[in-house]
Amino acid sequence: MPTPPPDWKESVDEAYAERWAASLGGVPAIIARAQEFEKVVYRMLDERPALLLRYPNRWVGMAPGDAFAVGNTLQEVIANLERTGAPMHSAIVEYLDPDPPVLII
Amino acid sequence: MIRGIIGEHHRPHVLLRLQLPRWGVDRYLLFRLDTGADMTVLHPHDATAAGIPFAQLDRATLYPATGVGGPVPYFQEPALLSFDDHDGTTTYLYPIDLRIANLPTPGANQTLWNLPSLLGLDIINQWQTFYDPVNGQLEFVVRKGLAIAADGIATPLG
Repeated sequence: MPTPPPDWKESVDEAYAERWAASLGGVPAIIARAQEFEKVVYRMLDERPALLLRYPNRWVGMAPGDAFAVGNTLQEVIANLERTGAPMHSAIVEYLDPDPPVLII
Repeated sequence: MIRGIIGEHHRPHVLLRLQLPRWGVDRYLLFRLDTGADMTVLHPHDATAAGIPFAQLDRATLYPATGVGGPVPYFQEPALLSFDDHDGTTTYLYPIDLRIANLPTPGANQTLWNLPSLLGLDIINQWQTFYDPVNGQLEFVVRKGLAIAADGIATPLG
């Protein structure tokens, strides 16, 4: 991705955007990768109820290609997922909390 | 149209690509839609998964932001966020100053680890939002932003 100059937000114009997209292989490649991540997200949503019963109070991770990992800490599940060789740019990790806190944010 | 995801407990999320050009970070993440957040913020859970180089972030940008739980120090870091049309024809690019929560020190309040990253008004206010959780529908029409079509041509909207 092109490195932004100091006044960078103003410099992100049409020309920058076109260079940015080209540097990532073009818009179809950008969207294909996002769709890969979306599949991982929906797999996590689908499997989460069963995982919660099987691995309560643990971390789980998923990545493209059916990669799956479990760990006792966030760092451990990331390391376990990396060991599968799956692309980490599209990985998702979650803590399986049987009694999740109510969030007011 | 960008399509969001209504996840567990009917919480609204948006899938995005986060890039930190200064550090080569390039990662897909899910951010919680939060009209109560003035700015888009990255919280420790996602920051750790994304491999944010905390030791290299500029401490001069560390500035407290106030939330329900009290003030929390956030770094400010140039970031590119991109979102894709559901029909697979257009990508939208936004340069922002991303707020990144500093990691809680051992012994400090650890609740920050429970917080999702938040898509704030700096992005939400550039979209028209359709939110119908009963029917599982969350969609955004982009009103402002840089739209890049499948042929690679970029057009500013708004």
